[in-house]
Amino acid sequence: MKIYFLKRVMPVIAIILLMGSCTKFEDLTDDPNKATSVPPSMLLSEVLSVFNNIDGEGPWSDAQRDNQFWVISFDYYGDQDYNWGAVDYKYNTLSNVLAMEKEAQGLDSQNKYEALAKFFKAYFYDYMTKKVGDIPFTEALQASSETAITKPKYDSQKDIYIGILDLLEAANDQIAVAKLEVGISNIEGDFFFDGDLDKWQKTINAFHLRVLINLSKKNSELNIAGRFNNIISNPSKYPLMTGMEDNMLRIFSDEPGNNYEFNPGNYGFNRNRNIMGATYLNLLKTNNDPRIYEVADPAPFYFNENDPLNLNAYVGANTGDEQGPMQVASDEGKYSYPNESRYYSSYIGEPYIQIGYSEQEFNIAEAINRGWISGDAATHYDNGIKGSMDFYGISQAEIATFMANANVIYKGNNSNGLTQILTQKYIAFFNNSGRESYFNQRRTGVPAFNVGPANNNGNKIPLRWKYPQSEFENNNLNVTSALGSQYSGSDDINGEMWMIK
Amino acid sequence: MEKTKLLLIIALLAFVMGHSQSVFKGRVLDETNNPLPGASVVIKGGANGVATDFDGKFKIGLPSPNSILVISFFGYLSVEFDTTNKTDADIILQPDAQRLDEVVVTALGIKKDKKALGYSEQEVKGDITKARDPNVLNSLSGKISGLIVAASPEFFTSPNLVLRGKKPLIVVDGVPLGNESWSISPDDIESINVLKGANAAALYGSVGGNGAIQITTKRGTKDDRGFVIEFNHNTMLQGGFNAVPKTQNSYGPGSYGNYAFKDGKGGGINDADYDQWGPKFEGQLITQYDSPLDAQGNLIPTPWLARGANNLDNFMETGLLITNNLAIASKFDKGDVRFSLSQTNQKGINPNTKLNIYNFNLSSNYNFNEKTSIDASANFNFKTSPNNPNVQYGPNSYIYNMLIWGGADYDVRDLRNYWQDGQEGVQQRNFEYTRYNNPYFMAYEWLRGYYENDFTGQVSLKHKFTNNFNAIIRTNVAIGNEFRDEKFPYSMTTYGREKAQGDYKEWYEYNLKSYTDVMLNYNNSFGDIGVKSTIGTNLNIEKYRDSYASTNYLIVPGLYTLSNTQTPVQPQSYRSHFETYGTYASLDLSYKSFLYLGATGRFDKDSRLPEKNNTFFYPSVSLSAVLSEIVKLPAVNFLKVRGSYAKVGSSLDIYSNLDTYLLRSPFTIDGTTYNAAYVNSILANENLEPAFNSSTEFGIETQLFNNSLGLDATYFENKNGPQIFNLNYSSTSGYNGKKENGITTLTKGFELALTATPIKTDNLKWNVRLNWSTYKEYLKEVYDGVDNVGKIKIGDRVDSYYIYDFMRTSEGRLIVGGDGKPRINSYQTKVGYKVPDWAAGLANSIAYKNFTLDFSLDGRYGGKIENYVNLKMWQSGRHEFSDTPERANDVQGIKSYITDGVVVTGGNLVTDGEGNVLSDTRTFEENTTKMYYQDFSKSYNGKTAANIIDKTFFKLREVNITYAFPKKMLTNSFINSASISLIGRDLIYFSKHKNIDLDQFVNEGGSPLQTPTVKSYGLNLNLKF
Repeated sequence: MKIYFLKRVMPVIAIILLMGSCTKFEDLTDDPNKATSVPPSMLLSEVLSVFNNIDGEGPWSDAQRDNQFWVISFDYYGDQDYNWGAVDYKYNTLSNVLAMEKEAQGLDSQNKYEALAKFFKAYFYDYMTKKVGDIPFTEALQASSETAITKPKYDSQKDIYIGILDLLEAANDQIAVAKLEVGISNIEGDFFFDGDLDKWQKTINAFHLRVLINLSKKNSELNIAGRFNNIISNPSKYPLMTGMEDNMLRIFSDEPGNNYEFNPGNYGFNRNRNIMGATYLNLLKTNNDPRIYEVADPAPFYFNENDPLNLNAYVGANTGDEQGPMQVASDEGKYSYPNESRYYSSYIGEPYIQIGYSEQEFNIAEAINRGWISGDAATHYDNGIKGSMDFYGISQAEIATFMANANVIYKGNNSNGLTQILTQKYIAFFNNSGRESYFNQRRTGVPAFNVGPANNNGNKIPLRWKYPQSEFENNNLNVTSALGSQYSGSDDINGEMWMIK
Repeated sequence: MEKTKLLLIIALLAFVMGHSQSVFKGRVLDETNNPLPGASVVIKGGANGVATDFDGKFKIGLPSPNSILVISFFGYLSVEFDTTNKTDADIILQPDAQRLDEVVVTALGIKKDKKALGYSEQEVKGDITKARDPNVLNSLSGKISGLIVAASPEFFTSPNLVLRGKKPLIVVDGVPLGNESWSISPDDIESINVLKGANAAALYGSVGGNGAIQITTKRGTKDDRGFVIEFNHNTMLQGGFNAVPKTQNSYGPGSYGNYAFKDGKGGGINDADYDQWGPKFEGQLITQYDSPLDAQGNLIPTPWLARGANNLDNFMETGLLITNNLAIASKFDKGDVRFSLSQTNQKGINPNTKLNIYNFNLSSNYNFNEKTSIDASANFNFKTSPNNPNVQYGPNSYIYNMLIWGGADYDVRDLRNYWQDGQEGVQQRNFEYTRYNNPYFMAYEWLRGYYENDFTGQVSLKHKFTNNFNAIIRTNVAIGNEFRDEKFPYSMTTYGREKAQGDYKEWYEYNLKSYTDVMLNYNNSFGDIGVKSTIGTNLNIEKYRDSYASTNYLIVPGLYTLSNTQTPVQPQSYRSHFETYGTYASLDLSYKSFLYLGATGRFDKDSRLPEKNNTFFYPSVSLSAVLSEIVKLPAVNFLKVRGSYAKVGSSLDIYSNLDTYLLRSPFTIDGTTYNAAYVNSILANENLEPAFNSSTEFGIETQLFNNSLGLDATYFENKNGPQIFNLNYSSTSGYNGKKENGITTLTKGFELALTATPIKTDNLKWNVRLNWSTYKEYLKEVYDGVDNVGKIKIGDRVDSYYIYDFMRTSEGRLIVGGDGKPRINSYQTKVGYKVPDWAAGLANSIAYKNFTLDFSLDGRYGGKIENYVNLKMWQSGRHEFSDTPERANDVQGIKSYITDGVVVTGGNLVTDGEGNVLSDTRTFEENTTKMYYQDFSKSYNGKTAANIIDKTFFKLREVNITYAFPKKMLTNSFINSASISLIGRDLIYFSKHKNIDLDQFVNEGGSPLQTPTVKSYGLNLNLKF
């Protein structure tokens, strides 16, 4: 009986087992762990994180060391040898910007996200091209289109900047439209302004001025003066920041993942290795700048308790000095460190200004100094200084004393005045706004940067970054031709790109 | 369903063919009275013949009453049987003394004659379980030519298995569930054999494309008494370093000779997160972590001495591995049964590490009647490890804390009480309080638990329609449940957790694999032609789920629960499910005992592939000829040549070909939590096809000089591809690439297995086995219009090793900067190849009366790797050779080291984007810059380019001396047989580099930190009742 049963049942079991599986086969292909569509706010948060770039360019980052604000004596954690490598392309982030536009299609907030998307495109193309020179622009970001372009050609830096300036115009226009859509759904995922479009519009226009100033050597080719004047003379169409409260700021906190770069948890790693940069500290010392007591501690070896404010105890390390002897001197207490109570005593530190009011005011002062626009350069120059003083909580009395210093009083629309503007802009940039202080220095030579035996670039501050190695592997013809047309075929970090010629 | 129809037709066909007249009935048995299925029975002088069925039975029509039957079976001596006056009989075959003809287990558990195989297969002989290693697969080391078993030195870590350059499949009893090797008790293993290529393992489907390691488990006994009880005990001690990083003990922590402890948090001079470039140990007075306090609460300096020169020796413990197994096996008239209970307890060489494994195994075979039988087995495996160390580079590693960045200034034994007085449970006591941890505090408070329960079960139903034709339905399931946790106490620090307020983490993992086969087998012989065929279909299901959650610092110290978290826990989860569905057939034809032809074919349908291309076919074919059967050559006992070709299709990683968004971990800024999503940077391709590998191999096997010398040589070429790969796009296109079919590599290799019996007398027998193998993999094709994969161009070896080398002049002199530090190229250059040139193993077995001595040696030659621990110790200043005269000057504040190199005095080196020189006008002069030795060490010795070494090493792997108690001694006891063995593993490590054990590396270019490797020695006792 049993045997008979087994004999009959076996093929039946087999068939059931096999057929049972076939029916749901198609359902198995989809990934239950990932989304095929997300709200645009999630893409905005992603783009903003990359845009903010705290790890790479935030306070006390490598970028701020290249800006000569600080110096590291411990070779294990870094150096300042200026032997720069390749630019970090942001095209993957631009793909996320496109995805944000796509996901916002048809939503009430479409204009809002699209206006921001235009700004981000302008921001990232500027970010990349000013680091490296020509990059793909017209053929970029088309891998997923019908006729996919997988090896985009490189566009000239001039054409890219024309495109960037157009994008910024369009961003301002569209955000104006979006602002009128009051009561219609808001932008979410925005950790800078929580969707405040007024602040966004001011930021976009302040950034617009930054881009124009950075093109100061190309005034005649791109009508920079005219463009600058157009913005300044149409304040209703192009609202600008009116004070420090309009700054695009990143706030730090005791929340995990959002700590200030220096904090009580890493004091032991950093304290005697992270030294104030002499380039920056000496500028403060020259004018008895009260900000020095906020940002730095005196060197213990030179500190006199009876004369605590003596600036002789404020000693920065030269960026070009060898690290070994620097570490020895640091162990002997001969250098100023970042102010312990301001930078190490909490997880909050100070906010990071990504695009700020002071910079905007110095940019306007420079445009007046250069004769692009009319106006009183001194007012904007003073606004820039006062804004920065407020950032450090300097008292009005101290500010007044400082502003009365003959060296600080604006010397007029001449080269001395320009140097003052650029110097004070550099000081206000301390630990802020990524590599802007470097780009301004590259453009103007102000302030003088220090070089020395630790420099691994033939005693020069480089003028650019290299192209990514992956481009030589995956887009060889185009990148090689870009090198040929700009830098005689050599991917030299001392090569001079169009915008600074 | 069409396939089912096909099955039925084949079944019918087979039935008709198998039906024949019967006059004489017989049964063919082996020397232990077990049936011999598949034995050949032919009428002498006639053409008719039959094969025995699964019970060894046969029926044959006799042309005359005194016909002579010739019964033969591979591995046994042929017998001529006179049928005069007989209608039935049991015929017993005696094994051929030379055992030339072995039966081997091939893919899906199908048994075949070794002689008939057209591809390479090798079995491990002898008792693999004697010289215990915690992981049974380590016992294969050096024993299979072409298989590299790269043993991990880490506690509870599986070896890295590399067969012909790829990772092989692990199969248990014909089922490719990819079982984890820890879930099989070594005492339940009957034998292990290795199918070396796609040619052999093609029937397993995609997963068999890289060959298979097949484990056959023990079944019921053959003992005449009907039962046997076997007890095995094994104790191994582990200690005595084979490879351990050595240190200098002349200088302590600090930098440029400066150190003074204040709070260990950066308040003193280099007293936090320090290097080992500090002051010389000369008894001078320096404030230290354990200096007493004066009345004002200031530290009183104490003598600076190398108190902890032997810290690692003092800290590490002797490892212990105890294994017990009790097995009861029985047979009865309707079948057999075996029960086995194994227990393994291991104590690691790092303090407070433990592993317990309990394994229950039950297997049984039951014959309902002559035609139908059922075979079932179940295995439960429980593994628990309350703590197993994390050896990754970082503050979690003892090597990091004691040999690289920690110094000889403290004696680890002084830190055994690891809590600060009055702060028990909150604050550790240590020699530093920023980056490093007290080793005992780590061992006893930073605990990583591992708890796994595995179940595997199998039921197989076999029915014989006729003597030549049967069907098998077999279903297997393996279920694994894993739970891991990590307790990270207050005041412990590691990367990213500098706030040091503790954490608790949990991981759950569940996986289910099910594998079901329906097979029809037909075997017969028609005159000189033998037929062995199988057709089958298979359903494979794999499901996986996991979840993970971690606190974000603890509120209450020492309370390890997920709810004790400072900010809300954000758990993560993942699940996957796929199925493959296969139909396969295999056919083996033989002509006499001379020529063998085999072929297989398989269709697979795989849910991981795009719908339009998810069904694919792949074949294999093999041919072998036993030349010694037709040509008699002097001194040649056996000579066979073989050749085979196979192709195997395979799938892609699950869910890897879909356009989806990926989510980041949520982040919080100023009280608001943000969730970010980003676009997958690799585009999906709906036209993607399966990947294919194909393999061609040729081999020769011979036995010479009365079988005292044997040789098996194989040459193979594996074509890996077209694979599924990410075709790189310029990232400026917005995407990094797209899934495409492309990249084909060619692996060429040669394998040699030599056996010899130099001495063979009644009392003394000496066997030698030598395995040698080599392979190299080349890039053959990439994709239309693409001729490189990164730096590797078509025609290059894929394991080419590129690094950033030192910048050198055309004469090879180092170019140094103005600070005297060697400069490094900004582009990569090739320094060699990663894969070893060859691997070899030599095993000896000497039997003298009741004693047996086995010893084996194996290792590998060539291949490049970065010696990371060496590099790190140069950076830290702890390297044993860093105690130089110039270093003595460093601590005096004198720069005295001059790098042997040149400085650039003028001119320019102009290169293109890839580092090719466009022009070089540089002029040089001899470097004269004096620098600190510390700076030289870090900038030269501490760089990758100064730490590329050869992987060459050999190990005295196993030494066993076994004494088998003579039967006479045991006749009056209840013990049936008994043996005792003294055993040793990994006794000697031969290498130029004794600070790294190269055993665990095969094709890697980088080396992680390792626990120092040790020798194992112990004894094994085996009793049978």
